[in-house]
Amino acid sequence: MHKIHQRIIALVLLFSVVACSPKLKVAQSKAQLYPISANLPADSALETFISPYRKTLDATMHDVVALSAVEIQKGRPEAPLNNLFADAMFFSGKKWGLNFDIAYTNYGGLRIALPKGEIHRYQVFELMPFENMLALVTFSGKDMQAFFDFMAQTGGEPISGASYTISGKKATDIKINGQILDANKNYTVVTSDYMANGGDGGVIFSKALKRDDTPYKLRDALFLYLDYFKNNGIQLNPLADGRIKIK
Amino acid sequence: MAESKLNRRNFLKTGFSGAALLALGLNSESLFAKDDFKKLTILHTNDVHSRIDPFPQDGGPNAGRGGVAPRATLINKIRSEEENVLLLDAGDIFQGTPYFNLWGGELEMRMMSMLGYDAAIMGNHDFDNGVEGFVKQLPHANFPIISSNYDFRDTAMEGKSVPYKIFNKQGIKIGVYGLGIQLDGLVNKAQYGNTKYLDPLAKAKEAESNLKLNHKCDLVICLSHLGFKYRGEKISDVALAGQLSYTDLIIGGHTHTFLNAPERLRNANGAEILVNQVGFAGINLGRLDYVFSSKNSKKVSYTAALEVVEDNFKI
Repeated sequence: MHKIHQRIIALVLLFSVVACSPKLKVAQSKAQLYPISANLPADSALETFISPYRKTLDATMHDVVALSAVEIQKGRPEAPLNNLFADAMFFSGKKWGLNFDIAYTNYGGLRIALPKGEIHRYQVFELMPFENMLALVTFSGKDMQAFFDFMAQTGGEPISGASYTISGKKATDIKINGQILDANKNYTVVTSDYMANGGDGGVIFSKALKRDDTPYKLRDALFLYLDYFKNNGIQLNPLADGRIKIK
Repeated sequence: MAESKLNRRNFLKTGFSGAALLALGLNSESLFAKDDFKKLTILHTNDVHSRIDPFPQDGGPNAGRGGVAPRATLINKIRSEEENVLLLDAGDIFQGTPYFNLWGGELEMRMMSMLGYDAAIMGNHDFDNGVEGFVKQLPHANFPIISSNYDFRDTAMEGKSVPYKIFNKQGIKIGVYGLGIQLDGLVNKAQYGNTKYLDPLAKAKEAESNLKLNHKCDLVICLSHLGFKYRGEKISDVALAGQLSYTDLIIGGHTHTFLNAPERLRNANGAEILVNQVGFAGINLGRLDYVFSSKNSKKVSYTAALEVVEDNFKI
């Protein structure tokens, strides 16, 4: 049910400030909390302005793209939203025939949680508002270790196709598709062009042996993955499944 | 229900219109006549991120909160009660809802103009469609973009921002300068192009001295997208505050920090400086009321309020 009234909580603080003229010596400090209940209707001029845009947006953005059994939240070192996002990149990347070992995106790029129940198209846009494209980045085995250390230092980042343990500032027990990381082997990560360009502190990406851009958007990777669930009548129920542990 | 509406009106009348007198102390009427003072009301947002509609009623933590049209109602209400209102935004106007994907920020700029914003700065996400993408929307903004520490030479923004802006409200001079965050490592080079990030501390000192000493501003405000506070050495609003001399207030953004009241800090000279930030998505509107002596326009007191923009009436 909707409440007709909003609540406005205003904290009014009264402080004394040094007076600049002897006449104005106010020396009083007082803090008060005023809880207020209020109705805050939309301004009609603004509503009139938004209305046609909202109609256009609703016409293309309100279809249900998935059903979820749970609210899907992000978190560290891993969480259902992190895993859903990275798994979608992995799943769709493979569907599109890309060659890579693991999928990774930056935690800061997960912009909203997804609700329980119906997930609408606009919510996927709000989760992934950026127009970033998938990019393939190849590291030497040694730099792959450094890449995992980078993820460990942030407290855990969304990944798919790998598991590891955060041990202080290091990543240990790294497994890539079930195999222990081999320092003599090269590995390819599918990520966003934003990260491949060194965004969000991703200095490690300057170590790439090779970088290939793709014509696929991260958001479309999400949609393709969600389609799979929808077409098979499966509700989403992503888990924190232990792919990242903390020692 | 009728009763609670009435209560609210009463509060607004006594709480906000009377804030100047309240700020002076409940027992100060005998000392000062009302006409001896001028009041300035500063309203501010940050990181609105294209949140034009309130959050949907989907059971999420922010359901029904925010929205530009309810914010407009609140702002108009305050404007009807206060003579001197300044409305400012601390950046990241763009990106976060399909309104931005579909119209590239045109609505955000047009609506901020309708709301009567006096100035804004650029946050990192305002570069998301490139410098050109931001410039493309500037014809829809009837307020200045302030930047004191981005050098926009050889970019589409060249000549389209101002390093500071001075407002005059009833004889109160308010100087506003603006600080943007380091773009390298946060925004891709393809987006920010030739924009050069200049040391925010040095540029802030330069701007505040100019506004205070040359232009004799009564109040100096820094609009900042540096972020509230960080572990380590990274420059932030809190780190900046302690090194400034003439800035009275830093209105911040970027870190989406929800403060219930401004942080009261000490500047380089041990005088008070305030840092405020009101979360993100237009969930809250920040409000600070400063009271000045009419005789010399010196700030004598202030109050702060946090206005929660919430919209539960939508069907």
